[in-house]
Amino acid sequence: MTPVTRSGIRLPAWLAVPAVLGAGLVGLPLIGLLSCVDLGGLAALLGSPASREALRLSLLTSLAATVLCVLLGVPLALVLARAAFPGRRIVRTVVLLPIVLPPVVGGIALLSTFGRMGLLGAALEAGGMRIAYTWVAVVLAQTFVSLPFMVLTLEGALRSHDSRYEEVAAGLGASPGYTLRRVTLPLLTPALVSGTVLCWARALGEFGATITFAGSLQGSTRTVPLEVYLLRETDPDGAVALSLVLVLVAAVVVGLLYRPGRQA
Amino acid sequence: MTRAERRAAAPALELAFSVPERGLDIAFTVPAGSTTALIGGNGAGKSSTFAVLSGLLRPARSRVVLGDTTLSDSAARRWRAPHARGVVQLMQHPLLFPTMSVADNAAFGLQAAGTPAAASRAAARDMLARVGAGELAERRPGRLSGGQAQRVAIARALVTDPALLLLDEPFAQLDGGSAAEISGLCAQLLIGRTALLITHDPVEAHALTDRAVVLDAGRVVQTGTWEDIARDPATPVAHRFVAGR
Repeated sequence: MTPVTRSGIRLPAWLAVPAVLGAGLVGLPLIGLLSCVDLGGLAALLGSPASREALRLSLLTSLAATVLCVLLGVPLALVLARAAFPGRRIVRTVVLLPIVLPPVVGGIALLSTFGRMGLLGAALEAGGMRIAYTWVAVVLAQTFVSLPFMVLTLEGALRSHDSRYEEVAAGLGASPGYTLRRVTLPLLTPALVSGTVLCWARALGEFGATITFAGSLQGSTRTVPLEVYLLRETDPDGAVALSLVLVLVAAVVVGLLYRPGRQA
Repeated sequence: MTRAERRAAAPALELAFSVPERGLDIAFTVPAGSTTALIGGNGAGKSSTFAVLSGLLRPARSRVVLGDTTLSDSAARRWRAPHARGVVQLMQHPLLFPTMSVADNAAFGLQAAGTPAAASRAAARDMLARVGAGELAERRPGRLSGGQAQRVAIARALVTDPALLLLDEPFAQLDGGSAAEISGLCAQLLIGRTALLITHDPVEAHALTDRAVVLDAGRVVQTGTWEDIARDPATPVAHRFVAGR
């Protein structure tokens, strides 16, 4: 195999070795997973109420988290990339922290904020709201870990596109709101799609923050990753089958929609 | 609008600003309906002047009056946002919005001002035809040559009937043939408009402008018609612009 770029310029041949190793490191375990699947029992397992409920819950909560990531992440990325204000670096660091933080730590942080004993716990309780160990906690945990991916993707795109487009629009009489709608957001569309897909994929696979902050209650907080973890002890075949579903759904969506660096 | 009417409607420009930390202290006027060249070496203050006029740079001390509209007056704490000035800039790079068709690019300024879609598209098509880009209306900007793109950028700028047009070396990236063609087109379209041109090309300057403001190290050192400047050019740059006359 000779790696040749699209421009026809050859890459150094030795690059193929680590590249294949890297792809294999990720790909082989997936093949291993496939080799363990008991296709006969798949239908029965996926028909079980626990699995169906976990799948339904996972889809709904990950979609809700993705919507939140779009609604909050797009403005956040715009402000971080374009506005000048004191403490911008601190805000960016804090927002990106969940990427490097172990998700369990994120779960503990959420619990110490929204839990009964947490920072806002008493106030929330007074308002009759309980968040920890509910589906709302699942969505919050997923949003917490996914949001940085939206901010990172969009901020990168915003920095790479020429801010003179906005200056031209202003010169032509477009107000900041009109410019955002007609110029900036259309230019960001490819990055927005990529960011949304990344957020959704991260939310779908969320485990550590969810189990810490939301627990594992069938039907209300036990998403597919939690169900897989639970089944691993009692029904290894079932765990493999459910994992496969997760892999397939994620592969289809990421494969179809994630296009890094695509230009408008 | 006829050319005579446009000349009557075109505003005069009065500019004064200073940015001490950049060593800039610039003041000059442009008569109504005149295209004036802004010449000077690197760091003379040409780009800063354009940034102040278009509202992208807000110096601590500035006063910019265009006709009877005050664009900024630091003493009175008045300042108009870039989009409320009617000051359009035409740069080296056409910067057409890549997500829109040529027609939508040309109609952008009118639509931003709330002109109904049909009317703004019709006006955009008229203007595209006037700059010789009528047949490009449905194309995407990415598929245009440099000359075609700059024609569309000119149409997009003129369709809003800007009170002041700022031309920042708009032909510098075009090859000789299309630069001459588009410069000729601009010369026609600029008649009766108040405009400023930054250029390093004396031929272009004489083709498009009748007067010049000579900048040097952040100060205005000379203003007047090309004849005035030819009599006693104040800087080597000014000398180069009038040498061949």
